[in-house]
Amino acid sequence: MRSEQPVKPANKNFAIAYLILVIIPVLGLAGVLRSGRKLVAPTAIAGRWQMQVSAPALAALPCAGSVTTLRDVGFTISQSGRYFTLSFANSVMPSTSGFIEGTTIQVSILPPAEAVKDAGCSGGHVFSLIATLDSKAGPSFMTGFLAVNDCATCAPAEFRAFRKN
Amino acid sequence: MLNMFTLILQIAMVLAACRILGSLFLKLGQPRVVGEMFAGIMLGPSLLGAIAPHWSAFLFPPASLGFLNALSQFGVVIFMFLVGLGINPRELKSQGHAAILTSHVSITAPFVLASFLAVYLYPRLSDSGVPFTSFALFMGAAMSITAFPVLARILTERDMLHSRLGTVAIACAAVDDVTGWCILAYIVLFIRAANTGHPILFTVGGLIAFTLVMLYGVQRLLKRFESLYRQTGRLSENAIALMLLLALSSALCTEWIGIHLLFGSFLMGAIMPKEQKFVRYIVEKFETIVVTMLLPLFFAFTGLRTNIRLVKGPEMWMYCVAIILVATLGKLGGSVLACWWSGMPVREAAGLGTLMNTRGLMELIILNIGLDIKVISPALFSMMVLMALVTTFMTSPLLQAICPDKMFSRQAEKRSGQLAVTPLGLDPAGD
Repeated sequence: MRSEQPVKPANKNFAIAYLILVIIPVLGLAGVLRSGRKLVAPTAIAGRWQMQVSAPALAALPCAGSVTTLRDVGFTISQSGRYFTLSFANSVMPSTSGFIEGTTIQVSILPPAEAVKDAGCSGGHVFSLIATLDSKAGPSFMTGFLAVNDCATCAPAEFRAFRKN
Repeated sequence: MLNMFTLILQIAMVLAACRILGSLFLKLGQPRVVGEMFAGIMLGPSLLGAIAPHWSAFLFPPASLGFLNALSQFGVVIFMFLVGLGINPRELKSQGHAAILTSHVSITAPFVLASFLAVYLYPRLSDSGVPFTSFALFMGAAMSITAFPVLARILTERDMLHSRLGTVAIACAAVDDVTGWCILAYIVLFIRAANTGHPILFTVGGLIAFTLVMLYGVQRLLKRFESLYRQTGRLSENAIALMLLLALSSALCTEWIGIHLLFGSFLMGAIMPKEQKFVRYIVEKFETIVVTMLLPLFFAFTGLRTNIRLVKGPEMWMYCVAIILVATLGKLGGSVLACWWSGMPVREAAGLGTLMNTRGLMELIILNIGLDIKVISPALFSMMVLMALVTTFMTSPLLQAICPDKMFSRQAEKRSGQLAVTPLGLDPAGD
């Protein structure tokens, strides 16, 4: 095709085409926007949180050397729908990923590599942070516990956290 | 506190990466801007942060990013002024029904498909802090945008700017961008009103008053720039500085009334006189520093916010593929259908659809606004950046396959005496 072919006379079709390709889809869009209002997205938890956990309970856990740094520490949640990334304000604990289901959030935390020197921390322990958003106080408060996976004798450390912004 | 050593080091690294990747992509037959977008992502957590986290932390410490962002935003403000400058409403009028139908369908088709996709993605990738309407409208606006400057550059490089395909594409892209920005203004207005308590009536009233003042007051004064240029064939440094000052003042006004900086600079560019020699002169005055230094900083800042590692697992990658498919089907498919319906030959219609599917830098600008106002999540931002990259990257090879190089050369030769409308970055070498 070296040169352009002439455009066919299409004026008579313009109104029909505009109706089918523009106006009807716009009406459809209005319908989608209207019906979509009923959809429910995961509770918003993104932001900076302040964690409060008792020192004796933390000290009783394995890998206490690194875990005790979580006492009264802040963390930041970056949320993408049901999934989020949690970063502790101190750089000792690595960033970790978790998910939210209803009002319950769950995160697995690997102790940092340096922590294996701690007493009782050589077994490849993984911590679980499980918390529930306080529905009465609103989505800015959560209560939960920090537990060691596969350790029946380790008592979970309870904590509460509140959102700072 | 500003650490000059870190800032200069960052600028040097970004410029080097963008020039190298840009040149490499030019050799691959891609516009330089695609390589620069890749360079930005490579400098971020997706690559440098993943393979050399200590280097990444040294080069781009979080505390330093505010300065990089400020510089990049300044660049985007000027860039949007130039984009507005390159848009000429008369071009659309001269194209008739084909352009009107194509431009409107190329907005509504991706918009409607994006809203359907939003129904699926909202419960999965958004959160309760974002109203569904804002989420769906943002997805629609982001998917219906066309990279007007990149499209113009591709057309120029392929000698197609004066072909029927080229002129219709330019006109449609201009309409798409203006419409996209209007929709985005609406979303920003409501999100900001909800989040900051900014009185919505003040914003709406302010926007109407501002637009009227610009159209019926400032626009008349701007004609003096063109008169000055006609008299002497150039503008004094004072006149150029005044023009820059007006663009920045306009940006500040829209930010103050609660919309966004970029709307003001875009509107100032859009109401500038459109005489082609004058437009080309102004673009040349600003282009070098914006394209070679400030926009690469924007690409780097976008790359630093893009973390492809957030897109993990088959489920997330499926969302990403769905976004790319819907964006392409809506934009490319919708444009082809409208063009073909208007009577354009199928091959030309396919070429136009391919061009309209180019999103490039304009998409990144919109996505950054979306992330700033928290209407999209970090993972969705990363997926949409990937979509922008894929759709921009596919344009050149697809266009080459549909409209081979020499296809429009005869017509281009015939019209070579005419001056092109000169949107940003039209150097055929891509420099």
